[in-house]
Amino acid sequence: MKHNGECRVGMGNVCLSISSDDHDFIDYFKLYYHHSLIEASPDFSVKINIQKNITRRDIRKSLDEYRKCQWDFSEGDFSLYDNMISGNIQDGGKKCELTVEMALIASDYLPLFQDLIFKDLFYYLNRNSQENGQRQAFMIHGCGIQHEEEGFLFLGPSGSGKSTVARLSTNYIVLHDEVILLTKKNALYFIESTPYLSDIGKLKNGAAKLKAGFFLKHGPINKIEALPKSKMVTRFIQQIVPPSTFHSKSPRVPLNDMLSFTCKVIESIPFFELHFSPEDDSFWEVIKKTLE
Amino acid sequence: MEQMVIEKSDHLIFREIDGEVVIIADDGRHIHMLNETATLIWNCSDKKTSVEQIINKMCDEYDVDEDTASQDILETIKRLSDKKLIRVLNPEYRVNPV
Repeated sequence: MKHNGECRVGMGNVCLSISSDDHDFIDYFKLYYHHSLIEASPDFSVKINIQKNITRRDIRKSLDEYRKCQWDFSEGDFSLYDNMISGNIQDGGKKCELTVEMALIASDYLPLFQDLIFKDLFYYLNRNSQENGQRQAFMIHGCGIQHEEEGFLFLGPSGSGKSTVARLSTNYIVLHDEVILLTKKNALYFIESTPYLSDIGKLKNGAAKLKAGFFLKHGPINKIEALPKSKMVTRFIQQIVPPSTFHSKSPRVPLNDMLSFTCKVIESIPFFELHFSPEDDSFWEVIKKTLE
Repeated sequence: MEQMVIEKSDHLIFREIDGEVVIIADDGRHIHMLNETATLIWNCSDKKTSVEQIINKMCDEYDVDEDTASQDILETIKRLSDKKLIRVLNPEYRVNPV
């Protein structure tokens, strides 16, 4: 079969078409993001040109410094990360052509490329999905698990046990162990997969109506505790992956959206603190008992 | 007669949830959770309600004596002011318990 230099990736309610004249790149993309490949009509098309012939001088800034760069993802030309990524958005915001230096993709800076393709595009494409002028979809540092059509969200910073929860949930569907989409549709909340790379091999592209959420905390035994809602709000908002506009000169608007969204989620969905022992996979029994 | 009043600082985003206020600096760097006393002060930080009125409100709502309320309110005002969440206007005027 002729290689058409294209693949399609699902991200929540969005289908991205990723294409390149470099078929090795597309094969690499399909291999690494196989869990997110879908067959659907694309909502957005990204054409990627890989620059292999540039010998880059040392990458000057750290990953964290680059991630704090101020820019807005919008129509027209852009250049990011000391010109390691450049491109333009066109056709009414439905097409993007990127030129990416090989040095970026083949290094520890790959997350910048992932963030652009997945996070920034996701927020850009959902910019019009607003209620009362506020965003209704956010990317969250969280582990999303589906069981019998219901979704469960586990939140916490790095090292809190999100991937361990995913590994121990052997009879459940893992939507993602690190980055999840949380979207509000018709007064209901849904957790949805993202294409981000993961160490967990058994990810499944999908979505589930959110039933409950848990803030993870290491403990000697598995148990659930209630938290004041104000505390849940502060912990939840710190797990939101902010849109790039957050790092612009005026983050007030995205921050306002994040806080409003957080408060509405906490008011609508039961959240608890899950004291979690990584040696003991019985936390699902504790969760079921709590939610009965 | 001038009285001590309070106003909210600029550049803050806040929401009240279940009677407690969450405040975020609009650079996103600091998050604060206010307890009930601090929430009462925050909600009265309108440049019009005097600190004496806040103390009286606390006495009424929480059934505490004036000395306890006064101490609690003034300590909390100082903490909120130190964290730059509120500004105290006319601080030179002392609070006179009713």
